[in-house]
Amino acid sequence: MTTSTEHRVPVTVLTGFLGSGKTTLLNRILTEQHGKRIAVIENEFGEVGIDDALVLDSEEEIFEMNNGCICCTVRGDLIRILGALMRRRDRFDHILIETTGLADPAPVAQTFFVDDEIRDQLRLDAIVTVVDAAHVLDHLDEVKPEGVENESVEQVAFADRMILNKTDLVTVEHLDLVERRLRGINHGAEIIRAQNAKIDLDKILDVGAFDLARVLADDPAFLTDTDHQHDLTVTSVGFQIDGDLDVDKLNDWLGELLGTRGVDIFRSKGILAIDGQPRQHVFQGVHMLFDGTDGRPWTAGEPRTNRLVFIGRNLDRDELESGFRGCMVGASG
Amino acid sequence: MSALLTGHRPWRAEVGDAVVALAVCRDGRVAVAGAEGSVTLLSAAGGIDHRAVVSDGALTVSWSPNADRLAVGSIDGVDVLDATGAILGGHREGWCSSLAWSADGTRVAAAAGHAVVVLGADGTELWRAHRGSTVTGIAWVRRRVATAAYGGVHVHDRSAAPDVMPFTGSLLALSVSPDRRWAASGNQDATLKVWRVGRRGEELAMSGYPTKISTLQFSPDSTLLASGGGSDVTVWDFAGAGPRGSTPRILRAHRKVVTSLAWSPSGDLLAGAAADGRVAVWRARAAVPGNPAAAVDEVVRDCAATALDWDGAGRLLAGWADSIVAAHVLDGT
Repeated sequence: MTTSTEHRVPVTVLTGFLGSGKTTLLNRILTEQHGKRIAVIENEFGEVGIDDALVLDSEEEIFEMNNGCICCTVRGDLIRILGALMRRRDRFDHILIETTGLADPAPVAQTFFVDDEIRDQLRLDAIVTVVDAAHVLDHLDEVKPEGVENESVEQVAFADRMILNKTDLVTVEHLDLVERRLRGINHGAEIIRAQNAKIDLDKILDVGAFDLARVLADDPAFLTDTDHQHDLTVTSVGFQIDGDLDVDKLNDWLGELLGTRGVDIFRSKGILAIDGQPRQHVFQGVHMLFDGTDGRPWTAGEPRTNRLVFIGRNLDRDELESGFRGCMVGASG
Repeated sequence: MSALLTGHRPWRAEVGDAVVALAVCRDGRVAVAGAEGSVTLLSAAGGIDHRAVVSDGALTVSWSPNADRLAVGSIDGVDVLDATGAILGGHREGWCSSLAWSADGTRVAAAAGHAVVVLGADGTELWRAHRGSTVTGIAWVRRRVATAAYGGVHVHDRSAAPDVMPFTGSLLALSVSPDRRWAASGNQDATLKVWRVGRRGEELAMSGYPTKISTLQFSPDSTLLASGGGSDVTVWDFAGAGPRGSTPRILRAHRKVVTSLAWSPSGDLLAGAAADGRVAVWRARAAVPGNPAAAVDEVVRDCAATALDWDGAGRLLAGWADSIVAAHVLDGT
């Protein structure tokens, strides 16, 4: 499944607990001179009113999809509102969706995979999670009743970028502790430290494909870490393997893996080398749904390295890696 | 067919806003709703009589049967206008993508977020009924009002509990047959669901559509149900025993998803608009099941066609996303 991305309008999803600085960041995005025309869909009433931006209110409506995928829920409100936005003549350069502090990011992300009209016209650019350095550990450690997800763990697990905000309120030691904890849950996302949500907006708007190469290169130990298998806490597993993938084997394996384990696998992301393809294949999945697009061309002499990260619970590195190796061209079975 | 041509010339008008809906009243005047909230009234000859912005985004428009009132649904409510375009009243509350006037023209039922409100011809609220999620389709069933929302179709009475026709899924559009025997919904999960109004156990479910179904229309004689969902139009035959186990007629012309469908007043012709910019007309009844039928007439522009209606003289009105509305006189085939 490959779609051309160029014409699609990028969408940033902004998550974060109440008090994390999410609204401060939103106001910053709307008032700073960045030359982009932005439409904002708000789920929480903020005092945002900017001449150049269109701000629309929305109330979360989570719908189950009848597609045999038990964890597949979508946001009906977003399908409606995004559809109406895309019918306007004044096309926006960027759309920003602000979720409530308690929102589950999965239905938001899944909306971009499930609805054809949205897939054709919009591209989920990044899920940006704002984290309060002083309070995030309390939120992450909060014990929930059985069957109830910890929303802050989910928001961290789903992030493509994390903004570690309010760094001025804690010690450097505490910051390092928080950062290690965030990386333990989500290894694929870049962490940006900030005070008062002051960040370079280029880091979160229209960032394109996540930079897995950099993230994985940062920390070689991550690529062999097997501490967390059969662990109910949310962790990440990643690997990088050189060589070309057989696209049919890959689709079969991912379909089977995410179809059976998709409840536990929150997100999957990859930059992959498909046999015979001159361009990188950018893969991303949310629970049981996955999708691929063409990325940049492989350059001359560049090793065709596959990089893949899974974020979820109960992840077995050996099982995932051997499954993935089985998709290489020439692999047996 | 030469009678179609008498006294009505084709024309083209620019309304300054992406067309999202249009409606022709019996004397040939055209009301056009725009994506940025405009309402434009065009004379039968295509001249602009009135233009005003009523909201941040219009979604639907409907004339009362005697053409003295106009209701406009928007992203944040409904307005009732007189025939000159002056706003008489309305209701600012939630999403209104669906409207229906009662047969006598004294009341209009309008979606209002998670509710349906019934307004008098001056826009004052007479009664309302609640649904658990956004109302996406509305139709009158004698003195009662049918609504489509996540969970099924409800037929509301002003004073009694609703008649519930359940469906687990997200409903996007509703059509009730003019003889009031059937209610049909187009759904997010790419299925069509049909209930026998007032009877249990006679539900039908049609699947196999390539995309969600956001437009469907019963023919004026209630024997055919035309549905979008993908680029083809699928027509189910409700004559005699109904469509159970039957093969539908397929009408083919479009290369992108069908956005709007409209039967000619006589029911001989069906028009379909699509995102590829094409407006096509078929002799739906003459199509043979299992053998896709080609259009008998077409109008093509290079941006999405979004809205359709027929006037009383057999002229077809169509609207496009580049703010063009055209009155088309059919080829005398």
